[in-house]
Amino acid sequence: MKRLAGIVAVVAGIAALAIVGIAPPAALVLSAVCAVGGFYALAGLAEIESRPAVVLTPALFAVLVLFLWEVLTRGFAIPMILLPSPGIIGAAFWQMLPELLQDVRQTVLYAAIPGFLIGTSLGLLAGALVDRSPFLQQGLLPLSNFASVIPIVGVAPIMIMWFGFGGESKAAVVILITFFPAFVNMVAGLGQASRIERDLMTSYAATYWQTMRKLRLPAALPFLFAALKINASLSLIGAIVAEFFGTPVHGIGFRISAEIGHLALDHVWAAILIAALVGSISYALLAAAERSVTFWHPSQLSGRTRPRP
Amino acid sequence: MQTISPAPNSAPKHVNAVIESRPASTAAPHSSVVSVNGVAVSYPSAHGIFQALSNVSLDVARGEFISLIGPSGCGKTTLLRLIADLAQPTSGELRVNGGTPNQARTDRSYGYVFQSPALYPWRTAISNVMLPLEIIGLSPTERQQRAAGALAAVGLTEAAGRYPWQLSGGMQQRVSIARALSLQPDLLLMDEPFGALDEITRDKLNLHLTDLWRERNLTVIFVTHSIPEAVFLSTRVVAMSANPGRISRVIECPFPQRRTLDLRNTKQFLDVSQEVRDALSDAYADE
Repeated sequence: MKRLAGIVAVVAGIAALAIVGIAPPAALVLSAVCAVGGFYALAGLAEIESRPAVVLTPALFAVLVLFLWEVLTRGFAIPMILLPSPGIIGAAFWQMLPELLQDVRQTVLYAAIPGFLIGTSLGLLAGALVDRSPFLQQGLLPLSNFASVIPIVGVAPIMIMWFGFGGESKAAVVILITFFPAFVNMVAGLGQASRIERDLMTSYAATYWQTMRKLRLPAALPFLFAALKINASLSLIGAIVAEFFGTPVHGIGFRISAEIGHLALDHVWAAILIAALVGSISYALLAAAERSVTFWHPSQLSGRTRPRP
Repeated sequence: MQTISPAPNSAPKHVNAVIESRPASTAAPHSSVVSVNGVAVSYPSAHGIFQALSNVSLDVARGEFISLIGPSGCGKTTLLRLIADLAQPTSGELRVNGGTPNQARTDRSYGYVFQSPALYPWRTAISNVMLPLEIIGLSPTERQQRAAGALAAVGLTEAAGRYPWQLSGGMQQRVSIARALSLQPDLLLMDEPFGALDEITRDKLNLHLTDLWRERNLTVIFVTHSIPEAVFLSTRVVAMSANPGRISRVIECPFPQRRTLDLRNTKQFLDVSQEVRDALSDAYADE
């Protein structure tokens, strides 16, 4: 039954795409058939617990959403300024790819990555230092929790005054944005080792560094990866938004603000697409690294084997 | 195993046991391993000053197995932590192996087994056992050998490569005992190590522990809530009471060193248990 629904959905979908240019109303009806059949079939697929099904379900879901986006924007003749169809965005993306790659180079290589590295390291270092002093911990932590909710991208124009229009001012914004999540998570992470786990180290007369290396830093890893993942997306956002306020002639943020000025919305969407791809790839890499390093943590164990009692 | 003669070629299957255990004869018979003298611990709390321990004195001779038993708040864990230099007395004096507890700790001369196994979940069982050996700076091969030996002593050779979350509660606690043994201490301090385990597992581990104690000629100080456990394992049971925490009575357990679970059905065992029970009901009556 669900298999049949899937086949019907695929046939209806292909037919809808074929006739959407000639007979939009018929295409819309067919797309409705495709949507109902498709979601019904996917609901069935989601219940299968095999490896291919687990990968296939979200992939087919995405295909279905893209399909509906395509047919609905074309069937209802939605103006491109409001929402271009995926086909148009894809074409623009392909055509602009050389430029977009240069934008990525500018935004990611010269702003996001240096800012991420410097800001995160400074935050982690500050967290480790503060951990040694209960006084600073009590005084600074509430303050930094407060600082971490300030929309720091607001300082972007100031950073441009200070550091000029180049990548440096963007990196400065990213440093400011990424510092606090790293700092707060380092302090919280270092607090993760339990009293007994620390007493154990004390009973061995372990040094500060031995306790750090063998207990407190490994115990902090889930928090440190949380900081890295937050900072990976924040640094991209920060770098892009900072470019809105002035930049040389490259950069994802520059591209978005320049193309919106020409009302070339397909180009804007193409720039957003490449930003999304870069963000997803960096997040996926970090998540994979996290899984391999913090495999022991209950949050990673669920479903694989029973968690630690 | 106490009576094995060192003559060569005899009883080859016991050779390992001889190497592992320290012959009792080399130790001075009545040197005290731990001596606690008029120790008090107090700290400020919401209701004035809390007396965790008051005027506690105790001498533990080499090779003894001492159980500390009493109501919660009687300071038995505190006393253990004082001996381990994990806490400091407000007044009074402690000696461990003739020196201060701090010297004993920096010499790594005791092994401490905590209430929970406290195994590091990112390390396998054997790697957890190797942890103290890494800290004292042994070479990797030596670490490997000693840890394997310690795991074998608690019967967990097969579980060496498993992570803590893949082990049962009893196995986890055995790994933590192996970890304490890996430093090859003469003194073992144990804080309710089997409190969270079921009765059958606890019996097994008690048997195992009493064997280790005898074979390695260990001195053990053991905190527990269970009267049968205390009487079964100990040479002396120290009954404590709370408010302020103090020693109310010390009861001898005059059983042979080699103990089996049948011991618990003997009249003598039941008598001693009753004695401990009486001492404790006095302690609880004080509350």
